[in-house]
Amino acid sequence: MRLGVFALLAAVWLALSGPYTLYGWLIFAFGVVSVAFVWRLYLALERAAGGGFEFFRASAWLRLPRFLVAFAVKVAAANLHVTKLILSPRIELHPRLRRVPASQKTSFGQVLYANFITLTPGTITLDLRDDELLVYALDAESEADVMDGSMDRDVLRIEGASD
Amino acid sequence: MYLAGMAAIVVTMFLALARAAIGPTVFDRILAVNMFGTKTVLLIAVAGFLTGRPEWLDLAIVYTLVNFTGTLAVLRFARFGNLARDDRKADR
Amino acid sequence: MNGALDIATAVLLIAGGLFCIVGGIGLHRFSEFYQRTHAASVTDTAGAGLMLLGLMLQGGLSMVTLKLVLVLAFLLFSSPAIAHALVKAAHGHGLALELEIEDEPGRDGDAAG
Repeated sequence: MRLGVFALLAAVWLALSGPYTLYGWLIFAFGVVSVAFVWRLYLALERAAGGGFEFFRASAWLRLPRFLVAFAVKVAAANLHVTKLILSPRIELHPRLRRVPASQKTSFGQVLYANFITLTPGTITLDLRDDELLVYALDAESEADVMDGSMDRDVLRIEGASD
Repeated sequence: MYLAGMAAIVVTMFLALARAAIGPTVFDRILAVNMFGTKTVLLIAVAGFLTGRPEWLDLAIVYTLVNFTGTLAVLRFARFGNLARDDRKADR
Repeated sequence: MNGALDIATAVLLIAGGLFCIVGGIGLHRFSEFYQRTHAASVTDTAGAGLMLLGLMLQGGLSMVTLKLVLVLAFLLFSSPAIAHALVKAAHGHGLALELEIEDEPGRDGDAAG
């Protein structure tokens, strides 16, 4: 898994600098040093967080496409809803603050869920504590997206791949 | 088509800039400036395609990261009036 | 073939641009800071996503597309972090929050973290 992070960093470096840089030894050395440095930072971060970015396994990557599709559909629907709200002649909002349970086991999964909610227009995560999210929503329809728990299940499904 | 996209981005940038000027709270301004930065990234990307020089995407990537770090730094400064203080003790 | 691709790119670019402008309008029509963050989130997801998708069609299977994917990934990682940090800072700072429904706060009460 840690080597997976290393491989990912190396791949990003290669993508940013282009494969032809592999032939110049100086640039290649710079690449190795920078990837090693960022990897070292990641290891320190993992220690500080008490471990648990269990996300670099083959099974998780296999489930990623389905998650991305579900994510895109949810975000698109929420975008259309908020667009309708913005363009309606009289702006009518019913803002609310709700506590939502985050049933993910790892903190990584919970943060992913919180980011999912924040990224969906109409809902924003204010706080995360004791396996509960504090969610601020624009109106009842935006709130329903979160309260019906479908996003929770999406994240659970991809998180379950790490077990 | 690239020009139409760029025109839409520039209009959005002006709207964001207006919000940054009006304000009322400092958070509104930070939000608007962050949005301005995101639009700059898009503008660079589209302009790269318009001029046939997609290498500009490297600039867009760097600008994304600078925008992210910069916004967090300004936010932190607005809240604590300091970029270096260790506020963990103050929080807990 | 190429013509169809160009048309798809144009449609995606213009749709993304429209979503951007909608977000910009929302930034002015919404009356409160917390509501405006939602408008900004429209431009960050739909606007940026559609425009970059349109450019990806032009890039084809190449390094250019890979870089566009990276830009999109960075944007999708950073924008919720910024939105959350902003809203939490504003809430902790005591900026008034207009609410119709509110669940009672958790056991250690105030969110002034």
